[in-house]
Order: sequence, then C-alpha cells, then structure tokens
Amino acid sequence: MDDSFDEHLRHRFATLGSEFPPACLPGPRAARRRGTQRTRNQITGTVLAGSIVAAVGVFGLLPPLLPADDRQLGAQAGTTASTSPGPGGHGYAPPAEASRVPSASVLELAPDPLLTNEDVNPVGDYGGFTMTSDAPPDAEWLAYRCLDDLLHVGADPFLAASWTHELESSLVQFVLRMPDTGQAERIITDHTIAPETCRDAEPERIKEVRDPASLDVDGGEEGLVWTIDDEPGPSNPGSSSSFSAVAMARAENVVVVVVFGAMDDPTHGAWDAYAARTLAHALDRALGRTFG
Amino acid sequence: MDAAADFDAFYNASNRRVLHQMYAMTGNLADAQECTQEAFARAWQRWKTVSQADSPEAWVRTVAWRIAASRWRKAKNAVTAMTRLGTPEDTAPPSPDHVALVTALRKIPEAQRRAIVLHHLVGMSVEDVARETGAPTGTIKARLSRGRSALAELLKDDTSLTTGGDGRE
Repeated sequence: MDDSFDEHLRHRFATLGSEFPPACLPGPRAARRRGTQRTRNQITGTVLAGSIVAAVGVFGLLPPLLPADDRQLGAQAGTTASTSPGPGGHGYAPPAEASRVPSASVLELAPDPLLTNEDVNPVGDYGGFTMTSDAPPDAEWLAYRCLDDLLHVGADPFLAASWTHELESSLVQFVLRMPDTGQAERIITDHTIAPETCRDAEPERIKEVRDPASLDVDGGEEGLVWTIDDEPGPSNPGSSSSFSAVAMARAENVVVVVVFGAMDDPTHGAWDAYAARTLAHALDRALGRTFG
Repeated sequence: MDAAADFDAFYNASNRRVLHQMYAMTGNLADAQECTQEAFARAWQRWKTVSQADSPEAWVRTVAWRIAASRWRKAKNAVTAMTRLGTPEDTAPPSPDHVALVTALRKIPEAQRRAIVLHHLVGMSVEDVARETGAPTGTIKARLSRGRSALAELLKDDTSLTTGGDGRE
C-alpha cells in the first residue's frame, strides 16, 4: 500500500463531514436533559427495588449517584479523588487530540490486597460469609453478570477471592492492577454500556438488568454499579429467582470489582450503599491504605 | 466556569468531530447522530469523572462506538434513531463521493473500520489506536493493513474517477 492511497483516504475522510447541516445535533442542553433523565430513571429503579425500606431510608442510603441537575453536579465536583486525577482542571482535548497523556503514577498493590471476612460481612441481612478457595470464575460466568472477560484485559496481577454463605449466596472480589491508568479507565468506560448489551436470558427465564449507575466510592476516582434480577418465566414456575449485583471502582491504574449473587437481595434495595462501602475497603486493602 | 458551562463548551468544541468520526464508523448519519448524542448524555451523567479524563473526547468517542456496536448486535437500526431525534432537517443528499466511501467502509469488518477511522480520520498514531481500542499494536497494524487493502479494492473504480489515476496501489 503506497502513501498516495493513504493521502487519498485522508482527503476523502476530511471532506466527509462537510455536508453536515449547521445544527446536526440537538445541542448540549438536550444532552444534559437526556443524561439527567437517565439519572432519574436509575434512581427511580433503585427506589422501586427497595420496596421494604422506608422512603426516607432509601434516600439516606443511596450513594451520591449522578447529577440530577446542574446544581447537584456542581456540588459533587471534586469530592472523591484522593489520588492524582491526571491533568488538572476541567480541560478537555484540543482539536488535534491524537494522543492521551499517560498518567504520572502507576500504583503497586499492597502485600495483602484482598478483602477480609470482616470487610465483607454482613451483606444486608446476611452475615457469616467465609472465604473459600474456589477457582476464579470463567468468562461465561462473567458474561452472565454483564462483565467483560476480566481475566484477559491485561491485568498484572489479576487477583480473585470468593466468599460463600449458608443461604446459597456468594461474593466474589477481583483486583486488577493495570499497566497504566488509561487501561484501568477503559475497564470502567466499557462497562458503562456492557450491562445494556447482556440482557439476554435463558428462554424460560426473564432477566432484568438495571442500567449501570455511577457510584461514588471513597478513595476512588470513579465507580459503577448495576444489578440483575433473573426470574423464572411463566413456563418455568418451579425454578428459583436469583439476584446478582456488580460494582466496580478505580483508583489510578487499579480496579476493584465485587460481585454478589443470591436468591434475593439481602440489602432490600440498598446494594449501592453496601457496594460503595465495600469497594472503599477494597481500594484501601489493594493499595495498603488505612481505612478512612 | 460551572459544570454545565464547562460541559457545554466541551460539547460545542467537540460534537462535530465526534459526529464526523461516528459517521465514518457507522456509515449512517442518523445512527451517528443518535450514538453521539447518547454518548454526550452519558458524559454529562458522569461529568465529574469524564471532565478529569486525559481526553474526554476519547471517552465520548469510545462510548459512542460501543453504543453503535451494541445496537448493531441487537439489530436496532436507524428507525430507533429517527424516532428519538427526528429526521434531520435541511440535510442535503450526500454526494456520490461520500456515498461510495461510507458504503466501502460498511463492507469491511468493524474492527478494521474503527482502526482506519481512528488512524486516518482522527489522526491517531498506531500506539494511540491500540490504547483506545485495547488491542496490541501488532493487531492494529494488521487491521490497518487489511482495512486499507480492502478499501483500496472497494474504491478502485471510484478512486480512478476521483484522482484520474488507474486505482492501483
């Protein structure tokens, strides 16, 4: 392939956008309205899921989710990052944004980077989770929970731990130390859409995935949370329901993930609060920080 | 500058670029509009984090791409986009040259198309494309090579017309 074809391709690409009308998108205010509407829907879904918890309690337990309006977002700005957030200010890429600046710091894992029994207990109504020596889950297990194949995203190391409970519930933790912050950020970014792509259920079951919501985690720079309800369909009345909940958080190049599974939700809709607290512990353990 | 004004400035500075890139990636203006606007909406949801990213524009582009890819796989098409955004107003029919290019792009595999657009339209280096797509640099080089070869073949006649050449590589 010679350079003339590359040049020809560049020229044709460059003119591709020349026919766009002046106002080819609805504008920033429409984007903010749409984002805010999604946030409200997510909050509504969370509240509905927590039908046992009194309304005032739900709002007290909800994490500082997403900006419900401009005022809230302004109030949240700058409240979470405890490590270097990268280039300062709210600067965004200049027009020729061809390269991403590598983060200055790459964090190492602590000697004992995993959660302990004390850290994970209790999960809502369930206490007594004990660590097991189960093998890490495989890609199929991850995919059901709308997770990418985290075993093969380039983490070094990739660590996993699991806990079980007598009521047939389990908790799994992953710690991924990525080579740089950009790769860690991409894991979070990829999962902002992943839950929407894995809604397929077994033919005889009904799987409902709650849209991923942003999760504020102490000591983390960003976090995500979603839940999955899987109910037997009309043709399968004897089967059990299941509840799965996933949450992840990132600090620099380190990503921690917790995945819970049970026949129902022992937090009664307050999974987000449990996840935020447990992920904060997970980051502290992973990075050898003292609990804040 | 408050968060909304900051976001609006970012949107106004980058939306046409992202749309342009998504148009090349999707080959359909309505799809590109829908995915781009949705990605900006998600950026606003998480603006506190996104605004601190090394490149918020790369974040929006990545999310827009994943939305588009998800929709292809779910067989959702432009009907959805047109329902939500409405028919673009005062949009002139695309030129034959542009039709030929987007038609050719749609005929090559998704991964090759994405690499081609990021490298030739966005202007990213092979290393940056690898970083944004999460693939090894060797894989990106292979995708670029195969993608260029495929496009050269698909655009051969068209290239002859446009450049007056014989279309050979």
